[in-house]
Amino acid sequence: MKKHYVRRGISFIVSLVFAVLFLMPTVLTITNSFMTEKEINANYGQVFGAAAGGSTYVADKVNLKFIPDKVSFSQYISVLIKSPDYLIKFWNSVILTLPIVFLQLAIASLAAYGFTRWRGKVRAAIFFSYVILMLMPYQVTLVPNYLVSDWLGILDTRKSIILPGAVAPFSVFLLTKFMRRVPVSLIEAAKLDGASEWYIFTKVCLPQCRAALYSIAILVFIDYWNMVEQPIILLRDETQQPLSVFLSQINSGEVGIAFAAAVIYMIPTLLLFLGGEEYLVEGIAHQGSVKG
Amino acid sequence: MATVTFKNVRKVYPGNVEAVKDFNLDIKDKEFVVFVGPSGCGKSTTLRMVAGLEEITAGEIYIDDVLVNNVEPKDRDISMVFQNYALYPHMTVFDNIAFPLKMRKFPKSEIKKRVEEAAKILEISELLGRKPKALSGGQRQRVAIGRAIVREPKVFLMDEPLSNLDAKLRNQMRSEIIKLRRRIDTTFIYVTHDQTEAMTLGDIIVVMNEGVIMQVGSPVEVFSRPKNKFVAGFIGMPQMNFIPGELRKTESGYAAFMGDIEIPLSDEINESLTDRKTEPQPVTFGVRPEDFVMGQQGIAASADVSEMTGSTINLHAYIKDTEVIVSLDYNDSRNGAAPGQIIHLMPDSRRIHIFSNETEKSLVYG
Repeated sequence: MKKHYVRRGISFIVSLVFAVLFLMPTVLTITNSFMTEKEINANYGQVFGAAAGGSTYVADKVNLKFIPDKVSFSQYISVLIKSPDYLIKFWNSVILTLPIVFLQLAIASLAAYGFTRWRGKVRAAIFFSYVILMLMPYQVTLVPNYLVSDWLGILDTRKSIILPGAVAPFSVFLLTKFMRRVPVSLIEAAKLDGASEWYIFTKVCLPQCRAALYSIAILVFIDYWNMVEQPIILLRDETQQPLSVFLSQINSGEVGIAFAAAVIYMIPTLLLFLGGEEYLVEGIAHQGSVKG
Repeated sequence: MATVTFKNVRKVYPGNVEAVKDFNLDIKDKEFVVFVGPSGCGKSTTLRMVAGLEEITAGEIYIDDVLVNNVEPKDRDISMVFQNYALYPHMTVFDNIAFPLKMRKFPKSEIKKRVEEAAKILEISELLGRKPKALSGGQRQRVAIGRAIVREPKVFLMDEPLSNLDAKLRNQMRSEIIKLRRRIDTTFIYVTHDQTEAMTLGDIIVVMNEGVIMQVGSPVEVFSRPKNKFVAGFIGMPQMNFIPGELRKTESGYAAFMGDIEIPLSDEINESLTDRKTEPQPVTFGVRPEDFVMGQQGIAASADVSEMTGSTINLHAYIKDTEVIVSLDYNDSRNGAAPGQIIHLMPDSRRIHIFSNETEKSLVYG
């Protein structure tokens, strides 16, 4: 009995240590966003200070501080009111990410329905090629994307990010696996009852895949909400770049603003996750797969 | 209300797997026909060809004298109840039942009227607002039936609708289907592997094996006059005993010899054998478990285990190396036998079946 309690105690402490380690960056970002610019500079000015020649360097000593001396909303006021640049970047993130999420869901669900309803050697080969594509890191596809975008004349426009983002093999693969779990008899019953193929797709099949659709929406949203490489390469016009690019290039004097912007930036993802946590867990559990 | 006609229907799956071979059948208007047979015998495939869910490789299917080979499932005016109910899980019971009517653009008032009527017949009126996951197996089956009857189809197809239910519920639903059939009075094609279901529900039973019709007839016909060894073995529970023996001609006519015991055959059997000019030959005799009488005379057998099934005892015994089952009356105290005890069994001479060893066809009814 005593042994049992000791074991439980040890596993609790280990879990707690890991939980603290995982949560620390988030907690640090949130609490630091309520510090004044002066306090932040006192803590991290040395770390992010510009060296001679303009490049940043990292100091040996980091003064991590979790509790602000005085709670201040000045960083938020700067982000939301004083510097419209950040809001514009936030809006850039929205108008890049949302079309990708909706287009990807629409295209992937149609493709998955096709792979589910009609089988054959050609379709099996295409599906296999999807799996191969899925195994490739997306960095590999950046150069072809750049070349094709240039050829199409859409380089430096949002389309160069939205169009490749709309057709992702992972979503097709995940949805196909999910749709194959929908009993064939449901589709056959609908067919006998007089439903058209479109009606079967939208009113019989898709509602069964809500969990997968929501999981994909969240995963794709997070993926593109946090993208950095694609806008840097395909969208060189800084006025069109999303907030994620800014957050990855914090400069001296903007650290406090970056904390506040990061917190604001987290909110949509957090809301999306909280709103569909049930579906997300169900969708991933049904697939037994994790996005790579 | 409709007739269904099959003319030389075949179904071959890729890989040259012939699921249905030269299927010919006429189903009359308002008839309740049951396709019965073991798994993989082609019964569901045949049903699905009527529904239009499987393409027909060769042959023709007519519904009401209209060739339907290339008619879309929705245009065949049929309804089907699936084995797994096939209820739309995201819709309420009302929406599930209303689905075929909505697809056919019935007015809302008519949909409401028909759904409520069907729900009343099936005693599920209080469940109309629920989703399928909140229903028991039996209730789900009723909803599936409701969805099928609400449209008043020409032909009603049922693919093993009771096989997902437990034994008690299955019995209950069986009688519900009998009542339902009386109410809606249309043509039914029902698929099952359960011979009890087939016997209790069907006007006509179609016994199938390996894609071939083995016998078509009323329940009484297929039970008492099986045309071949397969039907004799498949219909009846416990199944018919098969005992090797010889058919000989004696002065008084044909006689069955099982071991050294001569069993005279009834006049009816004798007449049939005489009419067919049957030659004396080694045969397989078929005797149903309930057609044996245990007594002082008869074929010697060594008793083995007994199974108490309620009103009867199924006694397992061995006639030489052949295992037989004898159904005995539980209330008769003479019917006990200890394992290893030698007992004597006498078959009812009017109910002996005789099968050719070569063709397995009945020499009396085949």
